[in-house]
Formats: sequence, structure tokens, C-alpha cells
Amino acid sequence: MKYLFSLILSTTLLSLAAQVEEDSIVSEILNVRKVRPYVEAEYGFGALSNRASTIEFIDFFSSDFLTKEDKEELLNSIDGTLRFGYLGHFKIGYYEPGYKALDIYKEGKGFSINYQYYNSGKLSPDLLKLMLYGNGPYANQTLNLGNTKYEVWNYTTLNYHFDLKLDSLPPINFTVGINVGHDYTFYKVWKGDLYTEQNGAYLDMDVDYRLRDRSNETEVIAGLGLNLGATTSFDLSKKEKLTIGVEDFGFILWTNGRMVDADSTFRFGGVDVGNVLTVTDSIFDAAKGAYQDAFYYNQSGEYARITPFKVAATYIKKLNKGKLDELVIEGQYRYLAGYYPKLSFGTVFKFGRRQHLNTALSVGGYNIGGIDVGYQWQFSRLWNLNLMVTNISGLLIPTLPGGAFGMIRLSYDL
Amino acid sequence: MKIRYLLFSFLLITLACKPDPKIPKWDVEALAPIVHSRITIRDMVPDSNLRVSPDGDLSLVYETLLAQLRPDELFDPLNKSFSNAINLQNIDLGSPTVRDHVSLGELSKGGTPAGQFIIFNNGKMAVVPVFPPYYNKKFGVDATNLFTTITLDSGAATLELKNELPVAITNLQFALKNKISGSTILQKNIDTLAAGQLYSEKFSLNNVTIEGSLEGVLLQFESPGSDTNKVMIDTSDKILITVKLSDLVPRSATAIFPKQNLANDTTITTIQTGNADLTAIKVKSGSMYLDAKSTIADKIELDYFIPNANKNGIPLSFNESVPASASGSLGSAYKQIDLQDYTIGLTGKPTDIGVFNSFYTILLGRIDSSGNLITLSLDDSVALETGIQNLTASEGYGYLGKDTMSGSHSAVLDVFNRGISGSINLESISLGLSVENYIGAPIDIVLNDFISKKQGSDVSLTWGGLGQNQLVPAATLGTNNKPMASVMNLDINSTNSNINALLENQPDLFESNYDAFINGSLGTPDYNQFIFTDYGVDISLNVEVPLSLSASDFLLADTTNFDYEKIDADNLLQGGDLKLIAENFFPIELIVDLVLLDKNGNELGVITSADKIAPADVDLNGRAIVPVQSIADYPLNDENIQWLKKSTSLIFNVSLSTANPPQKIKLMDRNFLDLTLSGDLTIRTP
Repeated sequence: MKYLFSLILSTTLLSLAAQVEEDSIVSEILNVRKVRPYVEAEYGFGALSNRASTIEFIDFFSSDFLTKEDKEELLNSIDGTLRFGYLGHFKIGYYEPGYKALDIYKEGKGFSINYQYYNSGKLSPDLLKLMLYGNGPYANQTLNLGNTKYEVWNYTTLNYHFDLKLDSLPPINFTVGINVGHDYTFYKVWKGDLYTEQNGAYLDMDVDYRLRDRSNETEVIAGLGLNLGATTSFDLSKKEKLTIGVEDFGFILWTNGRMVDADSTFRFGGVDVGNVLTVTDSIFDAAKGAYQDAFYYNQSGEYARITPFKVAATYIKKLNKGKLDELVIEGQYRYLAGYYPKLSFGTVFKFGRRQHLNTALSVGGYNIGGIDVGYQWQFSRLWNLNLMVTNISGLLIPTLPGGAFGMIRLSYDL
Repeated sequence: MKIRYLLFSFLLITLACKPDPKIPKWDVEALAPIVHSRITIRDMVPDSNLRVSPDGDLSLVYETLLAQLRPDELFDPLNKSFSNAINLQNIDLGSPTVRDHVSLGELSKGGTPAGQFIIFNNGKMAVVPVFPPYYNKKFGVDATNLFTTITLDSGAATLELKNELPVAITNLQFALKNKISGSTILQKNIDTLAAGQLYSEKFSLNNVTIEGSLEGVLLQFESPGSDTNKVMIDTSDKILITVKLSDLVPRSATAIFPKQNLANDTTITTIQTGNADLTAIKVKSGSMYLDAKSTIADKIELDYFIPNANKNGIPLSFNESVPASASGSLGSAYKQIDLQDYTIGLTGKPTDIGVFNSFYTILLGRIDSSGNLITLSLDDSVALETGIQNLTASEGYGYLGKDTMSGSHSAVLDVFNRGISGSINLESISLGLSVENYIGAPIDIVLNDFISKKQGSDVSLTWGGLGQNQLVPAATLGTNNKPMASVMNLDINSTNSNINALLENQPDLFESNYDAFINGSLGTPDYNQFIFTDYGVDISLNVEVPLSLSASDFLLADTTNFDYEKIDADNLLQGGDLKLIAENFFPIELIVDLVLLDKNGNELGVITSADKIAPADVDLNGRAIVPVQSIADYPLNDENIQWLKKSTSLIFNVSLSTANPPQKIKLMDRNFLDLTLSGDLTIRTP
């Protein structure tokens, strides 16, 4: 049950939905090349989902206790597989951008510290029922808990950025860094049929799942790893540019790990306590321990996990038609539970020399579809402000499934 | 360093700002098995207490040692000591003999004409002229190789003079003197000692001191010569002088003492064995010792042994040397021999007849001549102490005599100790008292009383054999010299006694009272008997109860400690039901209640079920034929849960009733009860 509760907890994150949009097409477009070094701070936070709405997220997280009615209402609105992402990040950095002068490319460099938190998942409808109601109401039925994945990342990356220019190829911006892990959880259920006998005499299970967790609470250094990234742009024509890149690709070796790998069909009829006639106090301890062993962690040690990297390709075409400045098409994917490849079609509007407005229609990610909006403002000559909202429709019509994710970035030219 | 602080601060800040969502709580309904157990009759009764008939019916077989009689010690620990002393009077100085001579050449010295003639004609045939009287001719007699001085209370000296000169000697006056003191030991005048003649005479030596350096003195002697006869003159011809000392009773002596025995003592030891006549024992513990202290300046050898004692066929004896005393210090020796496992014959010396309980020891003391001169006086002695310490026996052989043992014994019966109340009705019961006699003598056992004891309810045995002598024959000795018990069984059953009432009383223990008489009815003593202290008489109780019974509300109870916090530390349980799911193949109905007790043992409440665990379907003989499934629900309401949280111990009360009592059911080896405790629980998320 503890495992189930853990899953229940994680599903609460359903409500939180959102992710990955922090580096969406809008922000890419808003990037303005600078030749002067600058410092930058960025903060992003939000929740996205394919099924849960913003108002449901708010209701869920603002409640102390879910009544039966609350659960029914929640379950009624989530009538299929739930995908969600609850994420946040905070980043500060110093950058010296590369630039071309007199046909000579001056390589850029910089460093940054990036704290990231991802709580993501994809939960089957039956698992949602199980988490909200338990298996009691589903006695004499088989619940399908398969096709479920849940993952929590909590780590900080110390990055060094540098440009590399090779012959006639466009410069490549590399990132190397050290990942410092703080906490991690991973559940994946490929197959999970659960049948509960009418009176609870036994549970029939046909499962194939993998669990990774840590035995300790969040720590300053719970694991260490490496981080890599690379981005480059190609000018397809005078007005067309293609940018491709990968970021946050790396791993973390987690210590104090707990692991379960199970692939079996079995009937659990309770912990066999031997001769119950010689019952002693220790029988309760033994039963509890055996119960945990049957369903929970049975190994401990170190394990490595690939960090939630992102790959993206962005096509930009300069239009220069009045305020309509650019057309942007972007495809991206982030390696997170429940995250689908995302495709965006967007435009950039220019208002004067210092302001840009970005809009995009997107499909995929944690949403089925949505509208993303971004705004950039250069003020006081050396300051740049970027605002971005992923799936702003989830804010404007909070009863619609989707949630929202917001990001603010502020930079100062030195 | 600043960068490290900066980095660390950043990590702390970011961790502190981790966007953990606040998760609400809610209740879930968990339905799952918790524990499972299969109970068979073998979980309730050890295999050793079960007997299975060919058709699978079970009997409860219970055997317990009711009484164990062990003989007391065969006799009180034996301690004996003996003192002895060896002194000078015990020492034989032997018969030291001194031999010496005086030659014709020595006699011829002095310049007399006869002497000069003899020397001149040495080696020639000649007429020896008359020797005029010679006076005070001295020669040494050396006995220092035998002794330095001997001061005698009494003794004798034999003087031998043999004339090997070619002429006779006349008017011979001979004296033997101590050379140093000059005192005369003996003196003799001989008128004529013809050529070749031997003279011998024994002299008494009372209160005389003899020195090893002696002097023979020819106070006077003459010779008539050879008359007209020519004789061969040889100056090496001698007069042989021999002094042999004998019958010496010394007061003190400095002498070489010859090899001799100083002591030969035989001592009889008797063991007090009551009216038993033992012919042998095997020693369980004890030792034999010898303690010697000597002022004698020579080594004394001591031999000590018990002729009738042996171990693994080897007789018991040992030798100990008492070193010579020196410089005023005593020569001492101590030796102790462990007698454990020695067998000692107790029939006295070989020549004894009709002797029992006695053994003898022999002590020998001797000097093995060292060849050294040793000084002894009347003050010198060897003080000896020998003895036996703490001798006990593990085995005794011979006639054991008559003895009586009486006693009361209790045997705890744990078969019914979980029973609280209710009745149980058993079918035929047999009870056997088995008496095993490991003593090699016949024993008469008398069972005086046998009581089934339960608090407030005692039931005494009614049986015709109570108070009667029951003869148990003597044990025999096995090939490995171990007793082989003779066995006598007393059969007490449902037809000749009230044994059913004793067992249906559900006793906590049986109490018995008996007398045992060794050789009680034996007339003539039998000397082939034996007794081993590790073996005696064992009285065992054997009960066989066919598990064919009926029971009504027979209540069993078991208590266990309980700590709710261990299984629900976060108080997540909100309510629900516990379900006891049973597949019962016992022909017995069960009602299970859970009594919750606080830390003071006070009852907080009882969690009960309205449901019973139904018995298996039975055939006409009361045997289970089809298992029956039952579910007993135990609701956990708020009050129950509060009880659970406060309780520190639980009592499981199980009420048993057989199917259709008083019709008896039969328990079989194949009976089982499968129990699964499942929870249909409302649990709050953490």
C-alpha cells in the first residue's frame, strides 16, 4: 500500500501539469544576439497536463482533504490516461556571446548555474482510480495499472559554455557541466494487472515494473554526474535559418538508491506467518516487514539515470511585413515521463525597436494543443525583459484541460 | 574559498525553494490479505506426541518422567591415613669383613740373625732356624671402604688367622685396635698355630666403637723353625688375618649401607556401607597419597600399592624417591594418585574368606645402596604418612542390602494449559506407569496415590493396584558393563480405573506418591548384585488419548504483546473491517475473539465477530470429509481503533465446539485450517 500511496502522491502532481515549454519557440525567438557580455537570471514555474485544468490544479493543491465528491469530480474530468508535468527552474549566468566582426568569428563563452525540478508522469485511468479510491471498491475486478511512468528530478547543473568554430561550419555553442543531484524518484509500470478477490483473500498480480528511489530525504549532494549540450544554427538563405541543438544531456549516479525490478505473475495471499498458534509480538513486525518486501524495495545501492535532456530544431523565416517580423516552426522533445514530442507554429511581431510579441500554436508536450505567448522588452538600453507563458489558454479559460507554465528572464548588458 | 561559499549558498537557496507541491490527504479503501497461516494438528501437538493409525485417526501420546530415583552415595566419602617411621634400628649394616695379612718378609725385617738368614735364603730350600720372640709387630687393617666408624650397642666380630708360613708359630698374641683412638677391639693369645693351620673365633662387641682404620698388632710371636727339615723359603708367604663383623646393632654409624628393605607394611581399610556387603567398587572420585620426610643422608625408595585395585587391567602402584637430607634440611617427597575409575576389590587379602567392604594397601621402603659413606644415628628417621582422601564410588558390586526409598513427585502436564473453560469429553484413554529398574537388585514398588491436580479441582485415581507391591526384577549388566533395565508396566485404563475423569479434569499436573524397597522380598543375599549411582529407578507416565472427543465451548486463550504504533505509526487507519477467512477441514467450530488489554492488564474492550468458523462436514464416524469456508467479519469502528491504539497486549480467545456434541468427532492427520486475515480498511493517505 505504501507504494500505492507513493503513486497517489505523485499523481497529485497530475494537477500540476506543464513543462518543457520554458525553452519554447517563443523564448528562442526572443533571444537577441548581443556582442556585449551580460548577466542573466531566469525563473520558470508551472504545471501542464493533457487532462487536468488549471482550476483543478488550483483546487487540488489548495485543499487539505479530498472528499469523496472531490475525488469523483476529479476523476470525472480525467477520463483517460493522465499525462502531467509539474516543473520549475531557476538559473543565473554570465555570458560573453560570440559575434562576427569583419568576417572573423569571435567565440563566445560563459557559465551558469541551473537548478531544475521536474515532477512528471503518465498514469493509466485504473491507476488513478486505485490511487484515489483504493482497491476496495474494485474487488472482483481487474485493474490495469500498466503503461504508467512517473519521475521526479531535483538537481542543479554547473555549466560552462563556449563556442567552437570549425572551418566554414557555423559556430557550435557547447555546454559542459557537472550535475549535482538532490533527489530522484522513478516508477515505470509496463504491465500491471491487479485482481482483488471479493473478500480480500488474495491479490492476483501480473506485473512488469521497475522502481528506483532513494532511501534518504533530499540532500545537497545525493548524486553526481556530467552534463553536455550543443547548439548550432545554419543560415538556409538570407531570410531563413535553422537551429538545432541538444541540451541537458547527461547522467547522474545516485547514491543510497533503492531498486525493484519485477516481472512476474503471482498471487499474494498474505504474509505466511507459519504457526499462528505460537503468535508473538514479533509476528506483527515480521508481517509488516514481509509485506513491504513483497511489494516494495528489495535492493539497495547505486544506480545511474539519464537526465531529462531536450532536443529541438527551429526554423525561422524573416518576413519583415509590417509588424509581422518572423515565422517560426519548431519541433522539440524532452526526455520526461508523459511528455510527447511537441510541434509549434508561431509568429513574431515587432513593435518599434525594443518590443517583440510572440505567439504560437502548438500540439504535443503535456498538452493536446495550446497557445503560447511571449513578450520581450528592452529598456534602459542595457536591460532586457522576457516573459513567456506556455498554454496561455489554460489561464484564460481555466476550466479547460492544460494548465500553464510561465517564465521570466531578466538580463543586463555589461 | 568565496566561490565555494557562493556555490554552497546557492545550493541551499535552491533546495529551500524547491517547488514541492502541497498534497492534500484523502481516504482510500484498501482490501488486501494481511497474513496467512495453515494450521494442522501437528502445529498444536508436537509430532512426538502424535500417533497415527493406519486409517489416519490420531491419538495423543504423552509421555513424561514422573519420578527419577537415584541411589544415594554408596558410602560416605572415605578418608583414612596411616603413619609409619623408619629409623636406624631398622637399618641393616650388613656384615662388613676386613681382610689383611703380614708376610714372612715383613716378619724378617729388623736385622735379627734369623731374619737375615731367611731374607738371604729367599727362594731356596733351607732349614729355617728358630725364630726368637718377636714383640709388638704392627700392621694396618683398612676398612674405610666399608665404614668410617660404627658405634655398636651390640654385635660380633669373627677373627680368623691362617698361617701360610712354612713353619709353625708359637706364643702368638694378636690384638685388633682402632688405629686413631688406640682402643682395643679384641685380643687373643694362641699357643701354637701350625703351618697351614686356620684359627677362627667369634668375639662379642658390646658398646664398642669400631673405626674403619684399624691396626693389627702381633704383640708377641715365636717360631721353632723347621727343625732339620729343609723347606722352601718364600718371603711372600703370609699370615692371613680376617675380621668379620656381624649382628651389628648400631647406635650410630658412618658406613656404606647395603641395599635393603626398610619397611613392609600392610594396612586394611574398611568401608562403612550400612547393611550392604560389597565385593568391589568403581571409584567415582578420591585419591591416594604418600607424604615422606627423611633425615637420612641417603635416598630412600618407597613403593605403595593397592593390590586389588586396577584400571583397565593395570594394577595400582607407584614409586616415590625420598631424597637424601643434606645440611640439616629434610629430604621430603609427596605424591598423590587420582583413583577415579579404578576398580577396587573389597574382599580383603587373597587369603581372606567372607570378608567384604575391605581392601588393603602395602607400603615398601628400601635403600638402594649408593656406595657412599652415610652417617646415621638413633635420631635419624624417615617419617611416612599414607592415606586415602575423599573416596567415593560410582559403581558398587556385591550384595546391596535392604533399603527403602519413598517420595512424592509432580509432573507438569502442558496439554491442557491453554484451556480456560468449557468441557471436553474424551473416548477411551489408557495410562501406563512404566517402572524401569536399572539397579541390579529386585525392587518392590508401591504406588500409594495418583492425583490429577487442577486449581480448585483435584481428582484422585481409583485403581485396584494402589498400595500393592509391584515387583520389578533386577537389572542386568550389558556387554559394555552398562545396566540394562528391567521394566514393569502398570496398565491403567478406562475399564479398570477412573482415568477418563483424571484427564477430563484438564489437569495442570499429576502428583504421585510411592515407596520403593530394594531387595524387599529377597531372602538369601545375592552377591552378584550391582548398583550404579548414575542409574536408578525411572518411573514414567504414558498417556494415550485417541483424539475422538466432543467439546462444547472449550475455550483456549493465548496472550501476546502488541504495539499498535509499530504497524501504524502515522495513524492512517480510519476504520473498516478485518476479515478472518477460513477454510476449515477440522470437524470443529471456532469462535475467535480478540481481547485488548492496556498496560495495566485491564481490559479495554473485545473485538468480536457475529460470525463463526464453521466446522468441516463430517461423516457418520465424526471424521471430516469436506472442508467448509467461512468468513468472520470484525468491524473496526472508532472505538475499536482507539482500543487498539491504547492496547499493549492481546488475548486471542478461541472457543472450540465439535460438530454435533456430544457426538464424538475424530481428529485425523489430514485435518487442516487455512486462515487468511484480510483487511477491508479505510486508510488515510500520509
